[in-house]
Amino acid sequence: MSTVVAVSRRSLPVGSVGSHAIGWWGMICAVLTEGALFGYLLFSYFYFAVQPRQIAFPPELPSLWLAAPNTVILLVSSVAVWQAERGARRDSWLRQVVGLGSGFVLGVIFVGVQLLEWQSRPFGLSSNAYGSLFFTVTGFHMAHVVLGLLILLALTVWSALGYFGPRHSAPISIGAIYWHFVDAIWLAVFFSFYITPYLGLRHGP
Amino acid sequence: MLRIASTDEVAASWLPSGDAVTAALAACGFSGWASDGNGFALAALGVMLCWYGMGLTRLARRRGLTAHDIGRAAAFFSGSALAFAAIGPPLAAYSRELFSMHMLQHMMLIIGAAPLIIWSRPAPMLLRALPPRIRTRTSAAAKALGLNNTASRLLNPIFVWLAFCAGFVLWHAPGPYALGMRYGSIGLAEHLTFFLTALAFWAIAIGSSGRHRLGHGARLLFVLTAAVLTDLPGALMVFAPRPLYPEHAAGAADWGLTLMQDQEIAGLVMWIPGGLAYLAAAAWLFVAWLRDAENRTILSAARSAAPVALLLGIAPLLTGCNPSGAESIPNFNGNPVRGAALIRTYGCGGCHDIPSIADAEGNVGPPLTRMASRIYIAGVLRNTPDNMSLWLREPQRVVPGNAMPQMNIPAQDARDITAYLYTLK
Repeated sequence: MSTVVAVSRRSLPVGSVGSHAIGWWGMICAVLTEGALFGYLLFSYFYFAVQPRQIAFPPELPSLWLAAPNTVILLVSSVAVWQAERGARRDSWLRQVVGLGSGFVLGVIFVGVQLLEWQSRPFGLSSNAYGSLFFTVTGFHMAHVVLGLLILLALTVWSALGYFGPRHSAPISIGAIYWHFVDAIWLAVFFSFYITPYLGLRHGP
Repeated sequence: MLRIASTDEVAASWLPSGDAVTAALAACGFSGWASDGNGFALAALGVMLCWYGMGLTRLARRRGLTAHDIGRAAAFFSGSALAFAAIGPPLAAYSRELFSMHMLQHMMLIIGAAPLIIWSRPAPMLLRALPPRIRTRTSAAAKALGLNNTASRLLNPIFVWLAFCAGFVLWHAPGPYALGMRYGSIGLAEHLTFFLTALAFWAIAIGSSGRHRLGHGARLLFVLTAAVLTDLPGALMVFAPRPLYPEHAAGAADWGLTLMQDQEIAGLVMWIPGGLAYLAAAAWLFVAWLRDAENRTILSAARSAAPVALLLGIAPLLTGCNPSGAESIPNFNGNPVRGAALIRTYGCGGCHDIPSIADAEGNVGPPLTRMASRIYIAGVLRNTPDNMSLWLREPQRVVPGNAMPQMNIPAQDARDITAYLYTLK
C-alpha cells in the first residue's frame, strides 16, 4: 500500500535550499577561472614593467587622487554586501535590502569614478604598450564590475520583494562571493598599476 | 667562485647601522654583536632552543621518549638550525653582497625553517618546560586575557594567505628591498615578516589545530594558489632583461659575477626549490586526503559490522587465556608483553586506570578494567581487536574532538597494546 502526501505548492522552497548549493560551487569554479585570467593579465603587466626603457612607460608616477578613494568605495560596498548576507541569515529584511542596495549604489559610483579616471589619462588603448595593458586590464575588471552590478540589482529587487530568508539565502551568498571576488581583483589591479611603480617597479635606465 | 669572508668582514656586516632599533638596544645596555638586530634575533632563537631542550629533558625523565617524540624534536632542531644558518654568519654577510645569497636566506626561512618548526608542534614541549604551577598559571592567564581566542582569530586562512603572499611580494619589490638593505631595522622587519607569516601559513597548511581547521581540499588550494603567486617574483627576476636590484653591484663584482647573473641565479633559487617545496607539501596533503578517505571507509564498515563478527573476534578469548607472551588472540598478530611495556612508554596510565600497570590510575578517560569483555569502544565501535587498534591509532578520526589524543602510534605498537588489553577479562 502506498501513501500519497499532498503538499501545497506554496510551501515548497523556490530554488536551492542550504548554503552550498550547486550555484555556489558553480560560482567558486567561475571565480577560479576568472582569477586565473587576471593572473595572466597582471603577469603580462609585470613582464612589461621589468623591460628596458625603450618601451613606452609614462614618465610620471600614476596619480592616486581618484584611484585610492575609489578603492575605499569598493571595499565599503563589499562590507555592505557582507552585512546583507548576514541580514538574510538572521531574517532581517531591512538589513538585507539596505546592504544590497547600498552595495549596488557604491558599485555605480565606482564605475563613474573609474570612467573619470580613464578620461584623465593622456593615452588611449592603442597609443602604446602601457596604454594597451592599462586599458585591457582595467577594462576587463570594469566588465566584471558591470556584471556584478547586474547581479546586485537583481538581488536587491528580489530581496525587497521578500524572496530570501534564513532558509533560502544561497542566492545572496553566491552573489556576494562574486562581488567580493571583483573587489579582491581590484585590489590586485590597484596594487599592480598604482602601487608597484612607487615600490621601484617601473622602467629603469 | 667561492670566497671565504674573514671574521673582520663578517663583523663589519653586522655593525650597527645607526637606526632606531640599534639606538634603543644600545640604550638598554646591549653592546657588541648583540647590538645588531640580527644578533637580537639570533639570541631569541637561542633562548627558544634552550627552552625546548628543557621541555624535552623533562619529558625524557618523566616517561622516556618514543620514536615519535624524537622525530618531532629532530624537526624542531633542524628547523631552528636552518633559521640560525639563514640569519647567522656567514650567510648574513654573503647576503649583503649577493642578491642570490639573500634569496637563499629568504627561502631557508620560509620553506625550510618555518614548515619544519610547525611540523614539530613545539607548543606542548615549550609548555612542558615550565614548572607545573607556572604552567597552570600561564594557561589561566592566557585564558583570562583571551590570548587563545585572539590567536585562533588571527589564524583565519584568508587573512593568513593574504598576509603571507602580500608580505612576500611586497618585500621583493625593488623599493622596499633596497630600504631593507640600507637600514638594519627594516631588514630585520623584512625577515621577521617572512618568518612569522610563514609560520602562520604552514600552521594552516600542515598544522593540526586551530578554530579554522581546513579540509584537505581547501588546504591544497591554499598551498597551490600561494605557490603560484610567490613563484611569480622569481620568474620575473629570471626573465627581466635589466638588473632590478642595483645595490648588489659591488658585492656581485667581488664574487666575479655580473648583476644580471646574480639576479638570474636568485630568481632560480626562488622559483625552483620554492616550487618544489610547495609541490611536496601539496603531494603530502593529497596522500593524507586519500588516507583519510580510506580510513573513513574502514570506519563506516567497522561501525556497521554485524554482531556475528564481534562474536568471532572475542569468542575464542573467552575460552582460553594465554598471557605467556605468545599470540593471545587467534589470527591477530600482537604481543601482550610488549604491549604492556608500550602502555608505560606512551603514558596511557596518565589518563586511564589500567589493571596490572604500575601508576596507571588516571581519571581522565574511562578505566580499562575488563576491556576484553566490553561491547563498545568509545561508544561507537564494536569491540573487536581490529577496531581496537584502529581506535588506538586514529582516535580523533573515529570520534573527532574527543579527549583521547592522536599519538601517531605505529600499526604494530597498536596491535601489541590491543593484545595486552584483551588479556583483561
